[in-house]
Amino acid sequence: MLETLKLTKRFHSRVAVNQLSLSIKPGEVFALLGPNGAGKTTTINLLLGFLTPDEGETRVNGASVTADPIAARRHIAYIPEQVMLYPRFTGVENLDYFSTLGGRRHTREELLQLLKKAGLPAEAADRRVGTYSKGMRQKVGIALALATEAKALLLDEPTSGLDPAASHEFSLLLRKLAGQGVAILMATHDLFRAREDATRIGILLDGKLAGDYATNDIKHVDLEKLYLKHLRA
Amino acid sequence: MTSHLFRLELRLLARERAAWVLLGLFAAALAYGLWNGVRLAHRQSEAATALTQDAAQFQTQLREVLGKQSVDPKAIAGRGTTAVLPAAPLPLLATGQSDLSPSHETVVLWKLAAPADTRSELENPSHLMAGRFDLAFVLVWLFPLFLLALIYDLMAGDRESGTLRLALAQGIAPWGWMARRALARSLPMLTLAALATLTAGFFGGAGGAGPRLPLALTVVLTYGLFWVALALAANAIARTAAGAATALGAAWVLLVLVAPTLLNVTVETLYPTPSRPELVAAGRKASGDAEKRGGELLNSFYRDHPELAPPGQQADFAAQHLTVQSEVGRAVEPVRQKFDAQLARQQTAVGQWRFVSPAIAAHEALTDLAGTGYWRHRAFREQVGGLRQAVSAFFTPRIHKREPITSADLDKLPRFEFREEPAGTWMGRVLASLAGMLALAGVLGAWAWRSLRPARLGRLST
Repeated sequence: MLETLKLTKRFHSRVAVNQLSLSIKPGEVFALLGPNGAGKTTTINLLLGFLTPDEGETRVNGASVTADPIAARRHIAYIPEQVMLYPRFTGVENLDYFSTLGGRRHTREELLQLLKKAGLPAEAADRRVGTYSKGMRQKVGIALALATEAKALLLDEPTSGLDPAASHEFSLLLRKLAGQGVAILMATHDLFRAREDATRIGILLDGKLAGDYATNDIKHVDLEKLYLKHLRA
Repeated sequence: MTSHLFRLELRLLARERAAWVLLGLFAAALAYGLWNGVRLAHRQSEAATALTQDAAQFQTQLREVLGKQSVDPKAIAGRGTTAVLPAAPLPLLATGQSDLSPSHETVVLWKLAAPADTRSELENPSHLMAGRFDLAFVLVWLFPLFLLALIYDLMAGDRESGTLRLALAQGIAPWGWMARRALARSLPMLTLAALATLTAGFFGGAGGAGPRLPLALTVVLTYGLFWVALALAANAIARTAAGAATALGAAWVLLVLVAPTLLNVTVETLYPTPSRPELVAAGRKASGDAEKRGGELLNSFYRDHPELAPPGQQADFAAQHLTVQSEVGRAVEPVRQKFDAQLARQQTAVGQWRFVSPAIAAHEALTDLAGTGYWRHRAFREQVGGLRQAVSAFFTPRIHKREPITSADLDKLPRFEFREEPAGTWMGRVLASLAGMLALAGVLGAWAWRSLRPARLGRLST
C-alpha cells in the first residue's frame, strides 16, 4: 500500500534519506522512530510528493507519487504535527472545505457524524476553530482522514503536545482506522506511543533504516534499549 | 463540487471584517465618483441646452425679421454661430477631456483669429491620465488597490499558517484551487465595479450608447482580471503574505503611477508643444504689425463694435478689420498648426504605448467609450475649424460687397452639426486596448499556471 524503493533525497551535500526501502501493508501501523534530523519528515514529504526524490521511488496504492503526485495523494490522508485549519471557519466548515478540496462532498449530517467518530464534542462542531485546542484540531484532522476514505495515513508527530487523555483517544482512533484496513505511517519521538499503537517499528538514523521490528516481539523496556543502542552505535 | 468550494471561499471571505470595510470604502468611492460625474454632466448639459435654445430663438427672430426686411450682414456676423458638442454617450463613466476642452463655442466673424480653445494649454497627457475624481478614476486607480487588498494573500498566507500543506495533501491541483479562490475572493469587488459601470450607463444615457455599455463592462472586468492574474502570479512565487503584498504594491505603483507618468514625460519630450505664451505672442505680434497700418486705437474699438462706426465708414472699418484678421490668422496659423499637430502626435504616442500599463489602456478605452476622449473632442475642434471657414466664406464677401442678407440667404447661413467619429474607429481603439489587457492577463496567468503546476509542489508547500 505504502512503498518506498531505495529512496534517496539530498539537500546539497547532506543526505537526508539514504536508500530507504519500506513497505507498509493495509492494516499495518508503522512507527518511524528517530532523533531530530533523522529524515522522518523528509520521508513523509517524499510520500506526499512535496519533495522529489533524487533516487528511488515512492508508491501509494500502486500509484507512483513522482509520476502523478495529485493522483497518488487522493489515496492518502495526512495529519501533521500541528493540524492548521482556517480559524474563521467552524470545525464542520473546515472539514467540509478540505474534504471538498479532496474531491469528496458530504452532507452536513455526514460531516457531523465524522467529527463525532473522530471524538470531537458535538457542541464544538459549530464553533470557530480559532477557539479549539491542539487536540481538537487533531480530531478534525482525523475526521478529514475518515472523510477522504484514504487507503493510507501519514502522521507526523501526531501526539506531540497532546495531554495523556487526548493521546489515548488518538491511539484508539488510530487502531480503529488500522482495523478498517488503512496503512499507517507514523513519524514520532514517542517510544511509548510507538510501542502501544504500532504493529511495526523502524528506527531511522541519518536517513537510513537502522532497524525494523515487529512490536509483538519487543517490550517497552526493550524498545528503549534498542533505540538507545542504535543511537550510540 | 466547484460551486460548493466557491461558496465556501465566499463564506470564508465574509467572515473577515476587513473585507467588509474594504467593500464599503470601495462602494463609497464608486458612489462619489458617480456623483461627481452626474454633477459635471448636469452642468454641461444645462449649458448646452441654454446655448441650443438661444441659437434656436435667434433663428426664429431672424426668420421673422428677414421676412419683413433685409439685414446688414455685420449685425448677424456679430451675433455669431453656436457650435455645441452633443452630450457624451456615457458621460458618467469618465470625465476625460470634457472638463478640459470646451464642449461648445460661438464662432464670431470678428474674432476668427482668436484661439479656438483658450484652455488648450491644459491638454497634456498628464491631465488625460490624472483627471478628476470620477468613476474612471475610481475604476482605473483605486479598483486595483481595493481588489489587491482582498486577494494579495491567496496562497502566501496559507503557506505561512500551515493550511497550505493540509490543502495540497488533499490531492488538489494547486492552479485550479488558486484560480477558483482568486475568482471567489475578487467576485464582490468585480461585482461592485460592474454595478457602478451599469449604473453610469443606465443613469447617464445608455439608451443611445449602443454597444458602448457592454464594452465598458468588458473593459472594467478585463482590467480586474489582469490584477487577479497578477495576484495569482505573485502568490505563486512569494514565500510570505508580506512578500506578496510588497510585490503587488510595487506593481501597482509601477503600473498605475510610474508608467503613465513616464509615458507622459516621454511623449512630451518627443513631441513638445509650442508654449501657450508663444502662441499668444505670435498672435499679438501679427495683430500689432497689421493694425499699425491702420488707425490703431479706432480700429481696435470698431473691430469689436463695427455697428457703432460712423455711417458710411462701417464697411470700411469692418473690411479693414477682416483684412487685419486674415493677416493675423495667416501669421499665427503655422504656430497653431504645430501646436495642434504635436498634441495629436502626443496622443497617438500615448495610444501606441498604452499597453505598457493596463491602467493607461483601460483609461483610454473608458474615455473613448464614454465619448469624452481626446479624439472626439479633437473632432469637435476640427469641425469648429470648418465652421469658422464657413462663417468667413459666407460673411466676408458680403461685407466687402456691402450686400445685405435676405430671406433667400436664411438657409445658406452657416450652421453646425457635429459628425460623430465612425463607430469602427473608436471601437477599433477600444478592442485593441481590450486585446492588450487580455494578452497581459494571459501572460501572467500562464506564468502563474506554470509556477503552480504539480511538479512544483515541493517549492509551494515547503
